[in-house]
Amino acid sequence: MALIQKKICMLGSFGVGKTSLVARFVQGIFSGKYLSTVGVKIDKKQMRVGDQDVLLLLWDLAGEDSRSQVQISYLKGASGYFLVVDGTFAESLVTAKSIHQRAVEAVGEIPVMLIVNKSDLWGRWEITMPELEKMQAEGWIIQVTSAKTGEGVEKMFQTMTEQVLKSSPPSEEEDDTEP
Amino acid sequence: MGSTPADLKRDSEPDQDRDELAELRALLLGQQIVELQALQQRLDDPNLRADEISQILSKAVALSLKRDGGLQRSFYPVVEQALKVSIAKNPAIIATSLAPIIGEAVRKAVADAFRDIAETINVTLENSLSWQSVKWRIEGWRTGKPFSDVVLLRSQRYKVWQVFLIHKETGLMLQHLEARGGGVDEAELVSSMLTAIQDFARDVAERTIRTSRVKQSEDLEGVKLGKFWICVHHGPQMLLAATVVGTPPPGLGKVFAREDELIHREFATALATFNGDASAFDAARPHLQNCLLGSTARPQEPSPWWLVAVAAVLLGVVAIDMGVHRHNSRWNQYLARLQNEPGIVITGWKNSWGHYDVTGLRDPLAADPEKLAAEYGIDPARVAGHFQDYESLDQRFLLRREFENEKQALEQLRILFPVNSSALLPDQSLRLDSLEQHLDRLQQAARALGRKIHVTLYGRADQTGPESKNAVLSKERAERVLDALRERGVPAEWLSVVGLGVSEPIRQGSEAYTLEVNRSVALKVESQPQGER
Repeated sequence: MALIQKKICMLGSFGVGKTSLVARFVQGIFSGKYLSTVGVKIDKKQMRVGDQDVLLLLWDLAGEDSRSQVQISYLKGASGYFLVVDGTFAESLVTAKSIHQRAVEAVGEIPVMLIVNKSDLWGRWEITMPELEKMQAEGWIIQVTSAKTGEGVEKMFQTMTEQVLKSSPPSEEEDDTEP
Repeated sequence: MGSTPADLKRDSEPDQDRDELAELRALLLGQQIVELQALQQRLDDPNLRADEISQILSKAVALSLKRDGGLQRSFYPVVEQALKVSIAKNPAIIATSLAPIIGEAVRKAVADAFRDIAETINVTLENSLSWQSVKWRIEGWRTGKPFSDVVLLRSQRYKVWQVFLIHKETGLMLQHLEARGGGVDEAELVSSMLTAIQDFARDVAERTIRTSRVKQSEDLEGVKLGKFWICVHHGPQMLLAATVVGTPPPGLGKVFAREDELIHREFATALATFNGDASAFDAARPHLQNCLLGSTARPQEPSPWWLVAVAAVLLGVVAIDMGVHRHNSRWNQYLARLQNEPGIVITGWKNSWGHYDVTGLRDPLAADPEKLAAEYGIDPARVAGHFQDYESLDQRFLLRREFENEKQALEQLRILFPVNSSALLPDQSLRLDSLEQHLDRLQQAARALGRKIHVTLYGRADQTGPESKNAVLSKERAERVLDALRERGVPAEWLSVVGLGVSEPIRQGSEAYTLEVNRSVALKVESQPQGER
């Protein structure tokens, strides 16, 4: 089947590890300086689900902090997004929920995954398991990761690809253009 | 006159005669009477007549047109009137029908107008006479091209190197083509980043408009970067972006517009259902091929990494739009470089009478702002940097600092020896352990920095013995230390030994402490980028 491309965004507070999360697992040509200037850096990662090859174009959006908000306009046209939080920093979950609300207002309901990063610092987590279990019961898809050890990173991209394909399956037609 | 009996009989029986006549008529003309009645009905019934005419009308019209065209003249006012009524009643219908062709119609009209102008110029040129015009005229005559085309071709040197067709909403690459026939490296990333920069430029422009009275925001249509142009044509659902070397002629944008419109029209269905599968747009390649224009005179070919560089400079260009310094691009580029330089934080700058003042923080390990100024063609004498020292937490600096610390610690360590001996005393083994640990950490820091290290062990002797003996002794001492380090697992290829004898004493003098310090082995660390010999 032909390769299909999907735009995926990475959102979250400043310093939760979005950039490190992708840095080791993706292919890119642009320097990180774009994040601080243009507010976005784009990398790509090729995945395979069943017999479908999918090229994820990962838009890593500059993190949100008290002075600046995530530029939701970059979400336009995305097929899904990751909300990245730092397990050791409870406030990052509050920020993520607020970003999520704005994202839904802007682009509607598209696949979203909550990524709880820094599993290597498990002992220092502020976000509690019951809290995450409650969110999971509410329908959130949650993945625990560590950018440092690589735990859960492949899995998060794999799950996102599956979600995206499920929500908009590739068309069966070989070619629907006019000659 | 009297009546005959026969006459009487006729007069008395008229009804009977009529019946007989009808009977006779029926006998003689029965079939024709039925046919006549059917004919009568055809003439009387308007529905039937309309049905019949509809069957022959088109043929009749065709015949009439072939004969004398009289029908056209008769229809003319009727059609005109009908159109008027239709437009008055619902203008949307006619507008919708015309929409797909109106762009082309307008362009054709404009093109005609331009051709007229070109012809006028052509005449003017043909009347002029210079050596160049004579050459061009010969070329036109030889190749059969109009003189004006030759002038356009020869006087404008440009080449469209790459064309990208990009889905506007998602920024996904639909198709791309390069003049050399191959694909563009990382075209998907480039397409997405171009869209992101577009979005960014628009956001910035809108922000600027809110705060000042700049004219209405528009999409980024082109950026010039040295020899390159990035030209962007904005269609309703797609962007057509091209990289052009040289100066693109004014007509190039029209070509892009035309091809973009054609692709929009041909791929309307594919666009409406676009799901990330770019193969649906493979058939658009001929349209992109039409955009790969340019003269055969070869402008310099861009390097393979041009796009990364282009994107970086584009970034600079866009950052300028953020609105502080709009003049002096070199200065702005230099500032952008400083701002992006690790270990340098710019807190303020001003430009007065061609002299620049920059204030901020600088890690002592960061690049020298004055040297950077020279790289951007700015006279370092015109730049005054007012930097306060600080320690950057940038990973590279942390590593470099660690490297420098370890190097310093190593170079301060000395392994001491007894008088007239190269034997390692037991009390020096702690120092050797420490030496080994520092070496190990130094090596790790060096590897992370992409460098390799080399350590020279300098053996020394005190000034008491004969010089020839001291030379040998000092080298032996260095070799002992080398052996000890090797035994501890330090690779021999990092190490080398030098016997200094008494030529470069650590301290001058003859007191006991000085002599002791000089009976020693000290280290010197050198490093160079990995891969260099």
